[in-house]
Amino acid sequence: MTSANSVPAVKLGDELSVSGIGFGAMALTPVYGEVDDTESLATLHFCVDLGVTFIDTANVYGGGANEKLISKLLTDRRDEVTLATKFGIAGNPADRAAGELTARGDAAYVRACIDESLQRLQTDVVDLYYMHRRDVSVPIEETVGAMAELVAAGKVRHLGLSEVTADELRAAVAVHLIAAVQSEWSIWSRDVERNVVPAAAETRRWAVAF
Amino acid sequence: MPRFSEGALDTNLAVVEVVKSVAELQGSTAAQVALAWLRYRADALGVASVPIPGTRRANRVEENLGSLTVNLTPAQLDTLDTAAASVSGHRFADLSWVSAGRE
Repeated sequence: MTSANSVPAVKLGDELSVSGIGFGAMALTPVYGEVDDTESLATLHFCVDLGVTFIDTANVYGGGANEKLISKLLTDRRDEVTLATKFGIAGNPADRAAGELTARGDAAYVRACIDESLQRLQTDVVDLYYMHRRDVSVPIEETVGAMAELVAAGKVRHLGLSEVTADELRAAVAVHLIAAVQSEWSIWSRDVERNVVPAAAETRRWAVAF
Repeated sequence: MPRFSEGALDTNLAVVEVVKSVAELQGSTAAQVALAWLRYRADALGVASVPIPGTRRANRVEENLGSLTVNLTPAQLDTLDTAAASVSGHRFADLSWVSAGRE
């Protein structure tokens, strides 16, 4: 993926090249409050204009509204964008304080989620598809196996995992190539440096930090 | 989040001050220094990194891009690492939600 900009590319895995800084779109559609789609869409266009073309969303953001917003960016700029979305958090984000969000990763759920996301995004393929949270009631091999089928079906190009442990990453890599691991990682959140990041280095996966 | 509970908050705000002080030396913003720190840390641990900051404001996107040209000195990295080591409190009340809770 090329664009006329000065943002250096970073390679995730062997095939997926993304802008060295991406854009986390979650903030564009808050759980509460009014969403100004015009301003949010302008921000997305501005990102792509500057070369920040790696756009990160999730099916759960804004209860689907975030993906729908991004579909408006994709309408005439799909080729410029490296599109990442996620499945795996079931429930209503507004109920999070009440503990209503649960992780879900059974194969049938994975298959249903990608079709819903593609519909909302109005595109044929997602460049990077993440498992958002681990459902500990399902073997990770089942979840990643279902994700691998989506690659074979041409619905997604690359697979990623969010907030996985080192052991979960190793088990997943045994099933299918994992292009990226996403986690919170900052001066204020360094717990991933203990196990997850070393495992990513050892399996040659790459880190996407939020 | 526990990290923002009483007690933990004072320590963690002190870290913000350290980040700000490095930013002042650099002539950059605190956000740029925080993103640059991540780049150096990922390099040191042998992984490539791609931050995905989110914002509703366009000028923040430009600010975040500016982090790519922020070069930190070894002394500044030491200062930041020392401050980071003092961060207390977990990032989620329910740790099973993130990787740290299942390790």
